[in-house]
Amino acid sequence: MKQCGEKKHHRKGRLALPVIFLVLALMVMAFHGNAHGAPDRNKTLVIGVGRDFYDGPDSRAYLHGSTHTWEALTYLGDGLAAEPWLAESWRSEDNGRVWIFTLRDGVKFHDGSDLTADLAKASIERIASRPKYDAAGMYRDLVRIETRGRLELIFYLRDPSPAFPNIIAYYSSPIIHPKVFGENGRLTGLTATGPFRVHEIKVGERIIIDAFPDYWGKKPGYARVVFRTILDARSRVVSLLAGEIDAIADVGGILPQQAGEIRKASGMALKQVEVATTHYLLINCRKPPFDDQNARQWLAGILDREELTAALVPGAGKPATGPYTPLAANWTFEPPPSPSESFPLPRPDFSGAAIEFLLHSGTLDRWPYRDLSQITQALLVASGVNATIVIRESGAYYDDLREGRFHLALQPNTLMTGDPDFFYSYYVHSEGFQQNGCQTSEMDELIVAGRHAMDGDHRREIYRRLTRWMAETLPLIPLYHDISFYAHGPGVSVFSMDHYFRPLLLEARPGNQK
Amino acid sequence: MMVFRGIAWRLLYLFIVLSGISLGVFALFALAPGDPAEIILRERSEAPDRDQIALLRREMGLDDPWVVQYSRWMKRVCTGQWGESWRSGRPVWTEIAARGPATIELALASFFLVVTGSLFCGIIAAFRQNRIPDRLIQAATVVASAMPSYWLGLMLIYFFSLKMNLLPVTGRGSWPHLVLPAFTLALSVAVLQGRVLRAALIQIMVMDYIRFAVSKGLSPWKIFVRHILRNALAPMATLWGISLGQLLGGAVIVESIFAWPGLGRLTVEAVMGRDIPLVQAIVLLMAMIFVTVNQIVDGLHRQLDPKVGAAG
Repeated sequence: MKQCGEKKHHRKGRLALPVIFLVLALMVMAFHGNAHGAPDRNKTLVIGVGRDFYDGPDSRAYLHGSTHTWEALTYLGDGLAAEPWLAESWRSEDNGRVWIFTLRDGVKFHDGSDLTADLAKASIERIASRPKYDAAGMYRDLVRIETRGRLELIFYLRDPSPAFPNIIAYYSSPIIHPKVFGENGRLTGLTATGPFRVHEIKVGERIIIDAFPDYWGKKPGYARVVFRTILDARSRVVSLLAGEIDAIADVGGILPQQAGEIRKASGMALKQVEVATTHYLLINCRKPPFDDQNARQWLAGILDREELTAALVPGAGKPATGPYTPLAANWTFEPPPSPSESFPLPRPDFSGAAIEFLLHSGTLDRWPYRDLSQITQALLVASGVNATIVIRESGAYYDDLREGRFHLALQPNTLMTGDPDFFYSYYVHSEGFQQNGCQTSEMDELIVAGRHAMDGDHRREIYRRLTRWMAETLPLIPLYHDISFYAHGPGVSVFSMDHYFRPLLLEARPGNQK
Repeated sequence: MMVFRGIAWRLLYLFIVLSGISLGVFALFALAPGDPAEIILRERSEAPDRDQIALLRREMGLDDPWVVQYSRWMKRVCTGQWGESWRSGRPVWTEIAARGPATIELALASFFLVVTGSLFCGIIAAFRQNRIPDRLIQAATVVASAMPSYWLGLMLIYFFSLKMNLLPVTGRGSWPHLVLPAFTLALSVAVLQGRVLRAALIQIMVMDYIRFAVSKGLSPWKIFVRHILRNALAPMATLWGISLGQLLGGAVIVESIFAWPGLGRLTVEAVMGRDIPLVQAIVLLMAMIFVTVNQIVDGLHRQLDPKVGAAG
């Protein structure tokens, strides 16, 4: 009896391993996705990007603007000035308190319906009424929106807003068909007016979009575009070199140190574009020693921005002379004399000071912040100042910034509206989320005056004064303006990216077309 | 009756474990720095507005004490409402379901390589003890376990994808896509477990009952399969079970290098973004997987080693 039981046991044991392997193999096969055939490279453009362009239902526009699936009322063109997009023209009344936008006629949504002012109104109201969709509070002065006729959209504002067409540009006014608005304004899909429409979304993996045949504007050169999410910078470049993807785009798509490798590879085209991002050294004006303006100026004097940029981001940065991107041509002024010109400034008394240099861990793989902080630390130590670098993950970094638990910090900022008020309201005004204690009531008044001044010359004069004040007071030190690399392989003949990191898909052409 | 009682006890145990874990996760998030509302808005705009953050905090119920927040979450879970991801707005199970298959696929493929690799290395090394194959496997073990998976992944990509053009660099979609990430994940685990198996086999090979089996005239194959390998597999099953649990938890680095859309990346993104509903769901799922795998391993252990069953 016992022997019989043992035999059975042995038989079971013998069978166990093959059965386990068979089950494993079947499970792998069951869970495995279908093989994707190689795309026709004359019709399909595959772009590798370092983040997922899928934003989800609880976002402003469901997909990132680079997908060209949606359009906004205006976009910021040359000089970061507002230019027509879905709004063909605009004008202001009541001294800038009322803005009337005339929509383009003949624009169709992806479902074939016409774009009307009523649909656009519903789309903007969805954004304006929820903090998740209007994170920067672009619509804080909005009183109401009305429509007139089929194509006129009228915004009533609390105060004059000379930069309103800039404020509502691009991400502030994506027009999405209200039929996809679900509960609490969430999107159930994406029906918009862009030159491409969604074919398939595989979250975290790829977004496939197809050319929209009824698009009102220029027809794209590719019938299909695939955005592949490849988080690792090295894998992105190797995928390009191996021909798995046709191009790399988006901010930080190619790191400066990878440029040489792509340049050397045959058939690869490495390109650069100056983008609207500036990298700042934030200074905590509330904490000694940098509560003293002389200490801040001394610090600015020992940091040679030309040298730093040339050493750390060769070809990928432009030393900053103004507080924000010089792409905002209308708001760029002659730089006031830099403190470095009168270098060496006398070193203020730092006795006993221990400087804490705060870094966000998420920025270290994208920009040379670690090197920048170490160089600054070395300069401070050489000057007899004790300095420590503290690296924090996002939550702790933002907490420390908010609570003022730092002396110096590094941070990028993109001038999304192309208007200086965006910068001053955030970094300098006493109500600004990132002001670090350098503000004065006089500057507050000047910022508010600039925000509402309808006279162009007067407004320019205000920002000229603010620029001068910035250079003297130094609530932060603009280090360099970003120049982004992007690249494409031999299968593509025309491919470029703009100052807001958008790959220009309408202009892109396969290798056999010019 | 005994069986039902046993199942009921196990379910109660699972409930207590999961409740404790969910409370722990919630408490950790309450203690961790960072305001979820601020992180969400900073992800959407580099210059968020103070009032908008305050408004969102209110909307999300973050102004309530965390005990109130936890009980609200618990109440929802008890009615089957696991909630939505704070960042994307999609139901948390939809988020997990979108990434789960990729993780399961990679985990099973890696597990297959771990099991076959460790069996191969362990058996060869044990039967060629202190000879060239054993020395080679020993050297390979040291090298493989010292290699960071990031570096190994990039090297594999460089040789097999870029230079030899044999396998795809990144992505998911066909069998060849699975080879490099699965191998990267499995290599160090397989060779290390191979060493464990080698030691177990060598220990068993000198036992009296093996000598007795030889003197009884049993064939070498029968001795190996029935008496040596079978007894050595009992401890290995535990190791394999733990490995499978870990592999199913996702592999952040390997997923990043090979652009593999798995749960590891989703978990890290959720933790960094303080997406508490999503983190809770992922952690509880992982806990359930670990508990289930452990139960299976226990069962397998009993099958392979009747002494364990008798003792238990």
